[in-house]
Amino acid sequence: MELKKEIDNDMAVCRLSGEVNIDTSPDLRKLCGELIDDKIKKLLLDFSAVNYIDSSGLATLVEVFRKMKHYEGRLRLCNLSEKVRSLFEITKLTKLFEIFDTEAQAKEGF
Amino acid sequence: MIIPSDLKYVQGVIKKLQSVLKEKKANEKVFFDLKLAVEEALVNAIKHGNKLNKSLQVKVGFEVSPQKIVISVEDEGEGFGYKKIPNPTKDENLPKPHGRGVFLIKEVMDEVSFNRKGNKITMVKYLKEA
Repeated sequence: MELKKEIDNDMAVCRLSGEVNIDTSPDLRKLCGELIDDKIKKLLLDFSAVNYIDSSGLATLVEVFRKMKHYEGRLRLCNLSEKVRSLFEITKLTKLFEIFDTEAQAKEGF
Repeated sequence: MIIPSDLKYVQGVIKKLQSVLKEKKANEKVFFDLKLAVEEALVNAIKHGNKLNKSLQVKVGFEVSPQKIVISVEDEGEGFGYKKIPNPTKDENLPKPHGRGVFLIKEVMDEVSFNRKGNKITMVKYLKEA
């Protein structure tokens, strides 16, 4: 998985690519951990180049969500492929995360 | 196929699965579902079953027919309490990071069963979508 980070004022956009799985989740946890240490207010994860996620990837996202909630930070996800999004739907994590079809929609009112 | 209890061997099993499915001309959705189920089962067997003890092994079985693929994953651990898995989709469980692996396996496969001891999972996917 490749990770690219862009920071603009109080918002960070992280662009993930490849697979978010048991091998790559530690990298995602580390990247988000650095932003959480800096108490980033808004974190947008762009999934447009992600083709696969497993339960360890979902677990990492839940951890990030919980840590950000402690200081009232907000996490949004965008550009999920149909298959990746289906895993959020069957696990009902769509109720926990704010998920948007496009980056523009995710940034609106963020 | 037998692998040691080390997560670095998981991708080797997935490659084997990929070559089996290529022969069957399975579509991407079927491959995604099987890859997810097999990875989740292997991670459970290696981490929770064999507790990352590299001297213990994980047995993986593939049975392929024109209609279906049957995959079994067996570890040498004490067994998993598969009858008592909390439902991760309940509101109170949503904020819990872990506990979605077996749930996902059951969702993406057509049939899932455990042996009595709970150290072997057998998963069936029908290839009608291929």
